[in-house]
Amino acid sequence: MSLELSELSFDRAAFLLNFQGMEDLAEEAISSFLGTLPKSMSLLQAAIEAGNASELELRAHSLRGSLSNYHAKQCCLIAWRLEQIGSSGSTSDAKMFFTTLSQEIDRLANDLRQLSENLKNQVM
Amino acid sequence: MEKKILLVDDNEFDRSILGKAIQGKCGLKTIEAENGSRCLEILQTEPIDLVLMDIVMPGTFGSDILQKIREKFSAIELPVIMVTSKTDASDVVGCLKSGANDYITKPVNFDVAASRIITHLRVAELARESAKLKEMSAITAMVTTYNHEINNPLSIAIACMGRPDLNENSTKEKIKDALWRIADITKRIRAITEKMEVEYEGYGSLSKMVKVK
Repeated sequence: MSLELSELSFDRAAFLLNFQGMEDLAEEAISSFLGTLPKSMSLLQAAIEAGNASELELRAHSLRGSLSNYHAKQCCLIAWRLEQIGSSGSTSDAKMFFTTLSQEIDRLANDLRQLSENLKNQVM
Repeated sequence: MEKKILLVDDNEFDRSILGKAIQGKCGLKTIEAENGSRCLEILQTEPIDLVLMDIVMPGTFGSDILQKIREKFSAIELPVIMVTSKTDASDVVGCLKSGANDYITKPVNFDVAASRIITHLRVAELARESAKLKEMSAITAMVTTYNHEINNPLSIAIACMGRPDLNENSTKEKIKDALWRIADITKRIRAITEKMEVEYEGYGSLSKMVKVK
């Protein structure tokens, strides 16, 4: 495996396999997801800052569901950890995980943007 | 008629992509609901063939909505497939106990989702056909029974009509009894048919049987 592939923040092959024959929809899925990410992250952050554990659990769960569509394992793992923290009824330690998640999400967003460009070129 | 699938998920992005993928994979029409209350509203106003619902949604759990759905629709009338994250094993068990027909896990594999949807639509269709066939068997049995019950007094009445003592009171009484028995049976048949509309048209595309509504 090349260094570039091993550094990818998501499983590109698994994602594309699911959209086989629907490449235009794959491109749309990425664009829509990138569009919804800022809101998802700000809702998550707001729940942490408000110390609202149940809201944190719910928002982290919802984000994890979306992230799983891209087979973004690292992001899913951190979102799951945040979900667990919320589920335990507290928000302590959540800030640290949120920071890590933000960094991973940035990486994922960049990788997805690249794939989106590739898909656009293929569709055209 | 085109089958309609109702997608219930608070996440607009997940809902929209899944809807488009299902349309692309199996050509089914999809309708979207962003929460449980909207889902119940749509079910009251539109004929829906299958529900695909996320278990965890803000404000309410899919399992609660599922229970409300099952108060009105059986698993045959409206199949419900729950969508869940792999770690929600206890939720899955709870939903299956509450009447979910099946579940799929996130990330949703579109081919698997399409296959499960088509399978459950087919199972529901077969169950409905089977129920109609049972209803038909009951009607056939009913017709046979009443045919026998009418035939007996009718034979008696016809036999009496040919007798030389037709004008005797005892013969007239026999004819009268027989005709009253027939009248009584026809009343019972009317009472049954008023409860049940029977439509004589092709039942299914392959079998030429009586369709019972």
